[in-house]
Amino acid sequence: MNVTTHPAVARYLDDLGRMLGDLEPGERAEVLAGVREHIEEALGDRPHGSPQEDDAAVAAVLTELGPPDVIAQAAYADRAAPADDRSATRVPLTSRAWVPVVVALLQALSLLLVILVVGSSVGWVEESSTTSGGETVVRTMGGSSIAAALAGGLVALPLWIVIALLVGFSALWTAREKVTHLLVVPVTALLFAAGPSLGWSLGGPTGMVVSAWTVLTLVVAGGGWLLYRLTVSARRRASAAR
Amino acid sequence: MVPGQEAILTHLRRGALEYCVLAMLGDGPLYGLDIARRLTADSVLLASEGTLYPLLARLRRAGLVETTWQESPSGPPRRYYAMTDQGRAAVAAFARAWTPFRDAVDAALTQGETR
Repeated sequence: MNVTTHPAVARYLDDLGRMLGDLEPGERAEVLAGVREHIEEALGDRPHGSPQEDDAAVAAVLTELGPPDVIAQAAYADRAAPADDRSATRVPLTSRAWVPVVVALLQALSLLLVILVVGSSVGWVEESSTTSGGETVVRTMGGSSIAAALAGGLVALPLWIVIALLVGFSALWTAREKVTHLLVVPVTALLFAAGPSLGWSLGGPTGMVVSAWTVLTLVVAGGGWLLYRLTVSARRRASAAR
Repeated sequence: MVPGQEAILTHLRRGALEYCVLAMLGDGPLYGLDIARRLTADSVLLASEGTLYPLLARLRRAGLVETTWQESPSGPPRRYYAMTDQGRAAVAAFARAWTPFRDAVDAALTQGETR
């Protein structure tokens, strides 16, 4: 009797083949061949010939083999240890160790962009002050620092969106740290917008220059310190998760 | 939840069955059905014959057994499994670990009983 022609055997081998689908093809073929040969051999040992005898023999042999899913389970259980290791190291993309570093670099780049845009606009305004009267420049200064900060914010917006996505989906920061991360650039832009105007209204041209430098120092030192802290704590979590 | 006897056996087999199969090949090559029949004789070592084949495939891929085809007095040629030198060394290492392990488990169980 050709065993693969018996519908029950064909179905059994089909089921087993499907359940072994995640095995490496060579290993899958080897297991299937072993089982098929086992069935052929075992059927030869039993009375067969008539349809009733064939059915009974096939049923008995398949029962002794056990359900296909038990065989598949055994095949996968052999690999349980490496499979577990793999799932443990399969950290979500946004929670890998490189994410904090990339986010920190993007943040630094955003801050640099804001500073450059603001700095160049202010420089332009100061330059115009040498050509036109000081009073006219002073009057536009408040408005222009807001415009410059706004422009800086806009230039940094694409980077901020990337940062927001990385930080938002990552499991490496607490909710508070995430909010901090996302506020760094907007707060910087806000400081640059409000600082010089405030300085102007408090202390005239000198006050404006002092406040502008204060904001710059605050952004570079405070922002740098903040980013460093956020990156270190995220890196610690990333290595702990590994 | 107290695990049933079958669940406990499943765990115990996982560490020992492959060495039992290897040891069985110590006297010479055997074919799949033959190994399965010997192992299921008391249904302690093997519950379902089919689970033997993933194990044999793994042993062969690990280089502990090798397969050869031999003519069968009845029917098509048979795939025989033979132990390699590496397989022999693996069984010997298992035997060295097993005896103290078995004694320690026995001792722990008897100690518990007498208390």
